[in-house]
Amino acid sequence: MTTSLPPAGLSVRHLHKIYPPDIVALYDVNLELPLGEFTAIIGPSGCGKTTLLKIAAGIETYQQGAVAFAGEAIAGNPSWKRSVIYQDVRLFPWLSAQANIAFALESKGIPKAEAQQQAREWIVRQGLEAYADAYPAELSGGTRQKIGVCRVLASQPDLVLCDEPFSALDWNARESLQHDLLHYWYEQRKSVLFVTHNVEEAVYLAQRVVLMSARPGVIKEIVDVPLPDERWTVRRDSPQLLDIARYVNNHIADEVRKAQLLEQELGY
Amino acid sequence: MTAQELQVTRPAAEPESVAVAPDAILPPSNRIINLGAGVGVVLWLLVLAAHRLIPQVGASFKVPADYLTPVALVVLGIFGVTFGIAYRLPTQRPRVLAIYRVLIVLGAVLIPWEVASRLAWIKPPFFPSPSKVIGVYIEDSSKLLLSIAYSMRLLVVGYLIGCIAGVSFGLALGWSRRVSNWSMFWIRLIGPIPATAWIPLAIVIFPNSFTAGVFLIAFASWFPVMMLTWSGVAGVPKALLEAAQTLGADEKRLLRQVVIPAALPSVFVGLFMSLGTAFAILIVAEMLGVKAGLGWYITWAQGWSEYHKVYAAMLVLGALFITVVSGIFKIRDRLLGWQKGILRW
Ligand SMILES: Nc1ncnc2c1ncn2[C@@H]1O[C@H](COP(=O)(O)OP(=O)(O)O)[C@@H](O)[C@H]1O
Ligand SMILES: [Mg+2]
Repeated sequence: MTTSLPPAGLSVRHLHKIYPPDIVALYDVNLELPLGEFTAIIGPSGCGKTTLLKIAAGIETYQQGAVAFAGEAIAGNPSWKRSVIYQDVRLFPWLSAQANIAFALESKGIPKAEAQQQAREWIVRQGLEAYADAYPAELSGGTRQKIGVCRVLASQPDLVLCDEPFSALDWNARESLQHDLLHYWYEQRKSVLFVTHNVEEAVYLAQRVVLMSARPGVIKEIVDVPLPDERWTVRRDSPQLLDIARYVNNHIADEVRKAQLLEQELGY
Repeated sequence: MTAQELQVTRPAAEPESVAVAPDAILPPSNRIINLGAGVGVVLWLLVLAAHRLIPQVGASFKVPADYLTPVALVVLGIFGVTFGIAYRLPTQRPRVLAIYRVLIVLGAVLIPWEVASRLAWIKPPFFPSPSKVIGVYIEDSSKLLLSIAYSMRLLVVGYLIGCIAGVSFGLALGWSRRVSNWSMFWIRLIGPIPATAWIPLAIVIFPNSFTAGVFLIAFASWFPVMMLTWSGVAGVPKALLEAAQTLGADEKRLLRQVVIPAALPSVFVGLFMSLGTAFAILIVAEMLGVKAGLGWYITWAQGWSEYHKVYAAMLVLGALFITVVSGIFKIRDRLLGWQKGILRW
């Protein structure tokens, strides 16, 4: 069953990023992701995953290379179409939970009243009515990230960039947010780029897992995950999932060792 | 895992109640109320006794009007009424205690003052008796009220102009690199010049003493507000700016919904700081020759060696300052409710 080439999603070509004066964060990174794919990036800490995500979001500069999404050059222009779910959530502390979601919708250009209405619907769908008017400081970590995820998904971005968004959460919150993200991807068929250092999470969520090497960040290998798109039906202890995870684990083990050696050399 | 579930589903109000001080949960005990009222009543009876029983040393033929007796009686009445309230409405006890603290200190100050004045250890006109100072509020009330009105007009107009200018300049400096590059030098040069040094120029430039005064007060409040607004904008967390940008916020939304709210705590510090300066300049500005005002009143009273009026006007100034500051605090608490006691003066 051959089909024509899928439309291009995120395209990264010969990307070099150096933090002044001489920290080479990314070295000749090349990545072509089809539109609508759920991709995970995994790699040792400090290999440039966050940097790559920020460049894709348009909030970080780079020295060399070309970065585009759906054929459109990103060139340092952030847009709601390429939205980021951050590990540290970054809700606006002066806005209530609902107002944080409405902020995203209004930023997209939706009129105020309708934005409020839609934000309310997201709150209700998440069962967070009790927290609608609470400020972020009054919410638990899990609830905060639920609002953070709603805020991003509400404006229906074409590319959802996730920077280890669930790694600080308890198991309950993590699972429910993983499923929210999976359903969004499954129903909307938008692209998701999910950075994590948790191999099981990467394999459980993504159609493909990109392995990055220790600094400077280079794409080392891309692993296909032949599990059904309805991932929420897959058991986390299914042999197939564990096999792929073991394979990925073996591959990154020596990268992690390299990263540790590098850190020792730099004297951390 | 149950603990984690609990954490996820805890009601929004709970962390708040943890932060509340324990004495706000339990109303003050009967003992504290009794003690406060007892000490207060004894002190004020002593004030009354000193006033009524000690003969005035070196008394003139003209006996001055007695204002301390009615005040002491009113205060004793207040103790009676608030004591009743404390027992009827225990929730009001913290407020009652706050009143007691003020009245107890006032009584403790008045006793030696009245004794010293009766025994002529301190002498008018520089050190008048308490009764004489209280009398100003009754005998000279119309002139004093007019002065309050004039002062407030000058203060409010000057302070508002200064604050609006300070916030706008501060935002422009913090937001636009070009603006700060061009004006940094001049602001550093002109900003720290004391407002009083502008008096000679202000008198020449402005058509009357009111506008000159407005300028001086505005100038004095402008600089601290601007600097703190600027530093507030400079301190907006980059993480939040990035978050807003990746949600698609344009420049206008970034400024209005991210930069300004984030800078607001710092702006309020500036507003508060410059209010003190504005009050100081108010008194100076009113010495430039206005028709009425508390600064003018003080100068005028001093000219006639009526020091009791000077002290009475000083107390009014203090009261005005407290009133304006608590107004600013009210606005701040409304706007910064999200901080939940993170930053409080
Ligand atoms: N703003 C910055 N300035 C200087 N160096 C940075 C900056 N951000 C990241 N780095 C460095 O670049 C490398 C890659 O960082 P990052 O992209 O955050 O890695 P990861 O997200 O994979 O842990 C790290 O060595 C880090 O120290
Ligand atoms: Mg990172």
